Amino acid sequence: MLHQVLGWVHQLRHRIAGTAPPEGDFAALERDFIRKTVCPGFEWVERASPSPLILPEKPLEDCRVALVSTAGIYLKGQRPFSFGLQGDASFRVVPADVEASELRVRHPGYDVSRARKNLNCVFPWQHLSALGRERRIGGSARRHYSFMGFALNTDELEQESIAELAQLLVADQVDFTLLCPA
Amino acid sequence: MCNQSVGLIQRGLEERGLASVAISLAPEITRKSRPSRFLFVAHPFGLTFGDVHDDALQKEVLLRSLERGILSDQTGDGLIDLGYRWDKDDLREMQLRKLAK
Repeated sequence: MLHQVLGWVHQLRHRIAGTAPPEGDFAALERDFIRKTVCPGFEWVERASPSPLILPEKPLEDCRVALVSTAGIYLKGQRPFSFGLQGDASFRVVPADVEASELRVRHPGYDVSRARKNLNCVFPWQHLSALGRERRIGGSARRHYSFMGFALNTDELEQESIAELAQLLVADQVDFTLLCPA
Repeated sequence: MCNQSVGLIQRGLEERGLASVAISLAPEITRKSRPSRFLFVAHPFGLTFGDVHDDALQKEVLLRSLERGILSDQTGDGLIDLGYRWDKDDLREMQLRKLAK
């Protein structure tokens, strides 16, 4: 409810000031919302050139697949993600065979009530395992991973967390990784 | 911010030689970080793969993402539209206007 009211106030202020973002310009609307609520100097990260296209060297039916979510998922007993002003750039390891009852979700940016009813909405780890059993993919990796997408410290995200994540994916001989936002 | 984070993570993995692809619910944000390509799914935030207990759609979006994600063809800015649209209610539209979470 607070989020909704803030959204209305935000829109109203833009309209009064005659500075309403173009219809459908969600990037500008969200940027302004983040500036107003948590980080006045916020800017989206922009890169000048694309990253190299890396494709698996085998067909999907032979690929070991891992999921990397940004939905804020963690295991019961793990440290929950921080909602501090910088957000949280760390990640949690989620075993592929974990029961739904062992998983928790915490994220300030979306309504987690739907995910709490059925986590496959944002993190389809059970469907991935099923695709492995059905031989549609080579199999599910033994571990998946979750960030909490609200991470303002992108230096920590890029220089520390992703480097650690890459090592784990290599150790698990993962052929292909699907990144899943929420 | 999830849609920025997935783009940055994909970049980081690709720069280390690891094959990956991101789904994006907000392509105007994800494309700023310039991952090699990304998959657009026009679903609400919090329902990336489909509605609560819609197992068929969740699994379909997952498989389609994997099948499409391992192909090399793409458009100029890397956006690959998987064609999924949300017509069940106005949740996504409200979210894009910051009127719903």
